[in-house]
Amino acid sequence: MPTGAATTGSACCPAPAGASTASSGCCPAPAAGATKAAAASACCPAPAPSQAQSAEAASCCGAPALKADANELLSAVDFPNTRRPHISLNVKNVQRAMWFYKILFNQNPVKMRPDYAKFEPVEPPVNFTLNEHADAVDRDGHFGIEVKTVEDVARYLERFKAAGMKVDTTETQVSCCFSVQDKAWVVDPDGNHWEIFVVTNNEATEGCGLTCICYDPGTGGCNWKSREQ
Amino acid sequence: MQTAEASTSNEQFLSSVANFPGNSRIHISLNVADLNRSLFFYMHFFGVEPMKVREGYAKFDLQDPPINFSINENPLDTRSQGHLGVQVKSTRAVQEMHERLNKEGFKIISEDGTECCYAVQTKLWVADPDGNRWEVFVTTEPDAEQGCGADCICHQEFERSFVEESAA
Repeated sequence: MPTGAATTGSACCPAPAGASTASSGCCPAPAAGATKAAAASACCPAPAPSQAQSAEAASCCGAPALKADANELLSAVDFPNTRRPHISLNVKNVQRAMWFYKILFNQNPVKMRPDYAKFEPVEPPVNFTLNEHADAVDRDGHFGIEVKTVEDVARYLERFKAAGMKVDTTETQVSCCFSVQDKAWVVDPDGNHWEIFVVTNNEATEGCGLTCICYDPGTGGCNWKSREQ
Repeated sequence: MQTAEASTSNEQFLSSVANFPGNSRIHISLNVADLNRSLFFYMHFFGVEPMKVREGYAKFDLQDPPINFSINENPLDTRSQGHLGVQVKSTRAVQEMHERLNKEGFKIISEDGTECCYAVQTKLWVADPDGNRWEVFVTTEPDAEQGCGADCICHQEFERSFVEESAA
């Protein structure tokens, strides 16, 4: 098992599968400690072309909104643009699933624990995690949108509330999946769980156990639940 | 509307008609019991309008975060099973992925120029050890008659790929 995988890549530039050292120069700025503006420019890809859905999206690389003040927590992990999708799957065996995804994404996980693996491909950009649960049902997991500040999470919350959406849970500085996060959860009409979250500390001892909000074995997993229930 | 002609000199490859940042983006497709109630949820959730709405189908073309997100109405599906994918920009990218996965012993289903989800696509499918279905695809025509009915490959069970450590 490549237990040293976490040191072979960064959030911006994970090492390709099989690489022994981080050698890519595409993303020189380290994530930790970088100012948000610097972090954005360091790993920002070409600007979005014609279909940008908003001026905010089109100007992500210059992102003037990224200001840090004493009351604001910033993301401890860096990635291109202001947001990226998150997909978390509950699997019966993290090892066998990990090999599948190493090949699919063509790179090593950036973080591994005995019951957990995290991939951060830049192409396609995604925060992809595997959580091992012995009683996991097939095709179970949750989705999310990872943002870069607590303020961004709050903006989502305001918009959801204004639209009358039921916000299931908010969590502040919670240790989950081996990192510290602020987040809000909403559930779609079919039971799919989505979280809006920022990782404020990339390390924590707490994973995703049986009592984790991410996982609800009593209903056959936290996501893609049976509609009959 | 863009043409599906290859943008490179290598004309056996087709280019994507969908434009998005970078070379690839995540695709998430969910099966839902009622299209409209889910459509409203996701309009509010993402804060954008869907780019495509058809009978039993809606698609969001999200730039930030970059996601090709679609919902398919399937009342017969008792779980909200869906599939995941990586959208690329050329059939060449699909072929390269096919070669890489094939070399590693993946169980692959290929579709060439197939009509699905109201677009024409060339793609491959694989299923992970827990049954999560992934497609790697390029959309070569933005519109087609065929949606995603009950007999669509999207809803079928695939042979799962169990690859070994030595393969990685």
